[in-house]
Amino acid sequence: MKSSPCLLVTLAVLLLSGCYANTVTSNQRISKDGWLSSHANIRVVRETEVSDDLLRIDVEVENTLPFDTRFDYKFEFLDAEGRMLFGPTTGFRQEQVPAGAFVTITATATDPRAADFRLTLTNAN
Amino acid sequence: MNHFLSRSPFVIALAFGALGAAGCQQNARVVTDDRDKIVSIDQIDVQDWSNAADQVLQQLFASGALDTAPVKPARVEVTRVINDTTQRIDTDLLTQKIKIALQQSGKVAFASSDARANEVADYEDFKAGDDAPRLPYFVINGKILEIRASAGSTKQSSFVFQLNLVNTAQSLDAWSGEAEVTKQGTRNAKNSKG
Repeated sequence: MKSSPCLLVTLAVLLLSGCYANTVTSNQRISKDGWLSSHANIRVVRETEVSDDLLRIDVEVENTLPFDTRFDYKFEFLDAEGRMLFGPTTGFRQEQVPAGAFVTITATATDPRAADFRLTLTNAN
Repeated sequence: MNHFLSRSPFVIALAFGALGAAGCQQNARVVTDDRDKIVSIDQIDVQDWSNAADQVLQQLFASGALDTAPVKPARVEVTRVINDTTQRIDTDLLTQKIKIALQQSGKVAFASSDARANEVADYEDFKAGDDAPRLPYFVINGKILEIRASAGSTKQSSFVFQLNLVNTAQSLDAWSGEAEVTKQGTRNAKNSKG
């Protein structure tokens, strides 16, 4: 009988962590899951062009957690009709971000037809 | 019966061992997500090539060096990428990714290394009375280095990818870039989550 409060607490923690891990937020272009849903603040999204006509994206991600953490991210580029463009170096990269600090993640489209992008931020721990 | 009982702990242990070993086995599957790929401490993994190529390409495009060519697409040749690591690696794993990306950008065209293609092009030039050699405006060369360190049982490997874009008209480095991939741990991991 003594163990029942412990059991309830354990179940509650498990339940909460399960919900936390499955939460996905998205603003169409940027999707986040895990701790990033609530504690990764997208401060700035900069869209510029380099080398005349190549789309470059800079995104500042702030870690509002009180400890250092890591996340994986992937940029994908789309043409004006929303079609995914092939890139030979597309894939997940990992970034570390100190507690309360921010990092800038960047990507440059290799195809001048790139008109839009999609960014996936996902828990690396 | 007594004889069987005396041997039974051994039989049970053997049975558990076999079951355990069977439980550890995994059926082969196709891995498409970089996060699920094996992370080795002391060698360059397939996802590291992509990471390194991405880093140097971003630097190259941001520099604007490709836009200095008088003609677009500018003719480019990859001359040599030196492997200064302890591993036997094919540097095409890096240069091919860079080649694809640069060609996609439409800013450069790579000279073919195909003997037959060169022979046909030479013949066409001869027919047209054009004896000027096809010279590249840019040359790409580079080096891959390895730095190892350890502290206790933790091992660390850093792979440094250096590339130069040489303007052949002036024999000057129009751009130099560097990418680094560092991995640390006590043993290899099945995926990026460790």
